[in-house]
Amino acid sequence: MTQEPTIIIITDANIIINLFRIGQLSLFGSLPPYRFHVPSDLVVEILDSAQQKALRNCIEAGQLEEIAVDMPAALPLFAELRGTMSRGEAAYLALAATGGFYIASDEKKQFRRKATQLIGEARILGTEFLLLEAIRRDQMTIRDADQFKDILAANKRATVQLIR
Amino acid sequence: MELTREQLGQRIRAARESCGLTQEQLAEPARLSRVAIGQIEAGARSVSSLELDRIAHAVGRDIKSFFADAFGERDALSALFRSDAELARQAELHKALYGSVAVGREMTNLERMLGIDRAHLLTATYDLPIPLSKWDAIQQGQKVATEERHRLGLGTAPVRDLCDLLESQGVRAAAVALPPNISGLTLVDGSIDVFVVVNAIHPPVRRRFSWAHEYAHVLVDRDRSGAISRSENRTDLIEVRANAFAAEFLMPTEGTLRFVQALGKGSASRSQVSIFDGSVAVQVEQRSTPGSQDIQLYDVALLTNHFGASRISALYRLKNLRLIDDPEFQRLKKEEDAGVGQTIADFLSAPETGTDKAAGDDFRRRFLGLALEAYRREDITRSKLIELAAMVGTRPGDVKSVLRSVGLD
Repeated sequence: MTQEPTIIIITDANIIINLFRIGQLSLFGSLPPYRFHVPSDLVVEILDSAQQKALRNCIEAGQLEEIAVDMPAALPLFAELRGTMSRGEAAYLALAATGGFYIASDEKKQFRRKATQLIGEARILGTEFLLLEAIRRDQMTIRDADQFKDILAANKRATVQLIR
Repeated sequence: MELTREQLGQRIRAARESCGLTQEQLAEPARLSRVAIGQIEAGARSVSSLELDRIAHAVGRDIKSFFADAFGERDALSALFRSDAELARQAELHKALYGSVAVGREMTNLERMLGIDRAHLLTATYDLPIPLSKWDAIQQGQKVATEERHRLGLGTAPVRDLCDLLESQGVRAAAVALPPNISGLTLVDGSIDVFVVVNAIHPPVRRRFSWAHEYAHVLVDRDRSGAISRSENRTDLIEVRANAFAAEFLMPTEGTLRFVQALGKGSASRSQVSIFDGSVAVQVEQRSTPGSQDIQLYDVALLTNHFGASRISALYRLKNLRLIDDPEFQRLKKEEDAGVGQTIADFLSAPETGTDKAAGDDFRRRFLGLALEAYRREDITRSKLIELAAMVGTRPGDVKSVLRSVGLD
């Protein structure tokens, strides 16, 4: 049996917050071959202390890897994106675009448009994708996923729609 | 443009040195050690996006400038800091000014993004020779103030809000806490256009004078990249010129004379006129009731309330316009120093400034308005909007509420 190659996904803050809200941050570490990274720029943008603590735990447990964006090719793109995006957004998009990685983000509008332009629609994944992957890998039941969907829908920022 | 680690390090060093910061001084805002700064500058250590963003902010640069084909080693603020070693040592001042410049730059970015052309807003310039003496500087300042009032169609009326006026002329204006000896500064730079800062810790009436003073630098000294107005250089000729401009701009000669005349004051106590009938002249003499023309502190209070000036500056203005003589000036100043002016102003409900809007509010309002519009047009992300709002003291929760209220969430 051949092992699937690792696929690196750079995650956005809204995905982290969504998984925090449904108590599923550990999903980051249980969906191989996906390996999730988060730039330091984004870690410092999470201001809520409970979310921050949970994120730190997740990083310390090795479920999520914190990385610095210091590649010579990524920095000029980061600088260019800073004019229209926050530091965290610019960092993970620059990283994904120059490193050939996927991103996990539910962000719409300007960010989505720019991300599509830089890395293509196919490399943009959202919360719904993670939940579906969790179901596929028996990490979660459909019933659980439905409940999580309700929790996220109850939240004003939640835009998740599970695809059956 | 992609740079090697060494090239980027050299640019970081040039930017740091151009604003007079030591590696140690840069280390703190960058949240790095001095050793790490040294390594980054030498190209021996990579710099992350997070660190570079903080470094750019600390040295007052747009992060994009580090990757530009042509790297400008100097900008207006760094030139100002380099010109004055004492300034460079004031860490808090450095932080406050670079923070203001960062907001000014974001404002410029927003305007460019939204297609707002400031070129047509840019105010007039007056080409003047270097004043040869203080007298010359005063004459120049007064003349420019009169011409500028005429250009703006202000007539002899008071200028209600100087900050508004500057903004309407394409000048960015902000109030920042500066050391007490600095009243304000003017910066001219491609990334922020023309930017005026006045000292937020000074009382409103003094800030009004500072706005007008800095406006003189904008009109007359724009070929310089920056000017700083401090108590120590008040006798410099360009500072004297700017002060003369401010006095005339805030309390125009003609307007002051008319106001005083409307109070039934300001005429000579004894007037003589000769009427010539073709062959002989008839002498006519008019004497005012003794003491009736004497200007009192309550007249000064009304005058200052009308023009939005301080009573002490109005006293000097009245003296310079020869509406009061030196003994009268001394008497009134003594009364003012003893607190009589304040008592009278309270009684008349005539505070020193008629309009006392919180300085910087107009800038903040405009900044937030442009940021919301950029978000509505999907030119910036939601997180960027929240970041911009935080730069002018607005909390993320307030941004989220307003987005929900206006249906932009």
